[in-house]
Amino acid sequence: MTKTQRKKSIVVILLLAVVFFVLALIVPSQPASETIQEVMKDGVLHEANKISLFGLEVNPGLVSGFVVTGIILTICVFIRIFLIPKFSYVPSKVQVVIEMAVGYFRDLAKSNSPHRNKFLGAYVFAAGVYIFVGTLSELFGIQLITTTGISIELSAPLSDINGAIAMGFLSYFVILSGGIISNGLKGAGSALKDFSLPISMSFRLFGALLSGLLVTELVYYYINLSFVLPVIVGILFTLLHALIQAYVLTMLTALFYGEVSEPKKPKGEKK
Amino acid sequence: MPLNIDFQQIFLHLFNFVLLGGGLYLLLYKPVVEFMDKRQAYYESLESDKKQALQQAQEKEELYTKKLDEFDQDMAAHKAEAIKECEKLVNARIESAKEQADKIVKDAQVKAEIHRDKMVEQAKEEITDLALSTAKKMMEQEDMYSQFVKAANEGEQDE
Repeated sequence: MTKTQRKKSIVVILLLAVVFFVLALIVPSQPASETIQEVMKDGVLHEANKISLFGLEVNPGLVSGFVVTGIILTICVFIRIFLIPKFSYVPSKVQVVIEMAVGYFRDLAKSNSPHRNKFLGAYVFAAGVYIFVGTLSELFGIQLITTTGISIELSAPLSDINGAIAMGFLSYFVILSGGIISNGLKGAGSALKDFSLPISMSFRLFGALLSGLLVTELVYYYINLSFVLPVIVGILFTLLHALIQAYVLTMLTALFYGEVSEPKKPKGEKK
Repeated sequence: MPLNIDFQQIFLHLFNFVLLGGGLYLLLYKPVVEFMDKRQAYYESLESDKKQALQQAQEKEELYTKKLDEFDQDMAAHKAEAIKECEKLVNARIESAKEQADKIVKDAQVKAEIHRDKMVEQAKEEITDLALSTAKKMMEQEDMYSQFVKAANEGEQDE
């Protein structure tokens, strides 16, 4: 391609972009079926838009959770069948990525809980993958029809308060079980001391992911904000959210698990 | 419930996560961790083999160093012994050489003495012979003189 040809193509692309932009502003958009207040309220509470799941009316977050689980497990089956048998001691690029992901969570569990970490490693790996992929699922924009007939986009599973509570409480019970298995009643006592932990974990997750959801809803609600901005809000913020929330929950779980599962020294024995 | 919290949905979320966790553990986490552990064990065994080989090499090195030291000590002892024997031999040879030299000198002195005596004897003889011959000559000269005197006397008488 010569220089003049390249210049011509750039001019054509820019002209097309300008034309579409002007058209988008001129042509009136369809009137929104919901006001921004309704969208925001529904984003938080999911009271209006329910989805039918085998006859049960559930929040879109739950369906999103099942979809994410399905996607993750399908990829895992593919990896298990086609990639893992080909693993070699001199790893390929894909193998390095898989090993890095697994190794990161295993090391996180080992470093925070040196005494008991086998189950913890598997748990934080699953939680980390679920939060990360679940948050990224917002980007795919999978559409579903609600029971009221409105088309909605699937949100992150943990932006549903029930999902966040499930995750937070499950993490707390994992910590509690670690304490009981390692130190019996003493371990349970030290885990129960942090009784605010499940609530803080749940609401931290819920708040963080909900804020992402609300900002995205807000941006997409107004046509004028739908140019360029979604690249930053939709992709960069979602990526950051995914990474930060996966890191925070797994790190906290590993940290508290390590604390309560540490073997207690008998009284009188000094360090 | 406030905030649309629904226990049924919480349990469904938990059910979903347990499915995911179990699947992830069986399909991905466990085989990858097993592979990583296997690889680690393999490299650790290589490392331990290397350490063992190194230790064996060090032990051998120590053994051979010790043997070399012993050999050096033996060599030094043998050398010292050989030097001593050599010195003995040299001393013995020097002694015998001295003895021989003394003998040669003594023989030479004896021979020289004999030769000198012979020479002296010979010189004496020669001197004697010379004296005799001189005396004889002198005797002969005396005769000639007496003849001359006689002749001279006879000449005076004729005048």
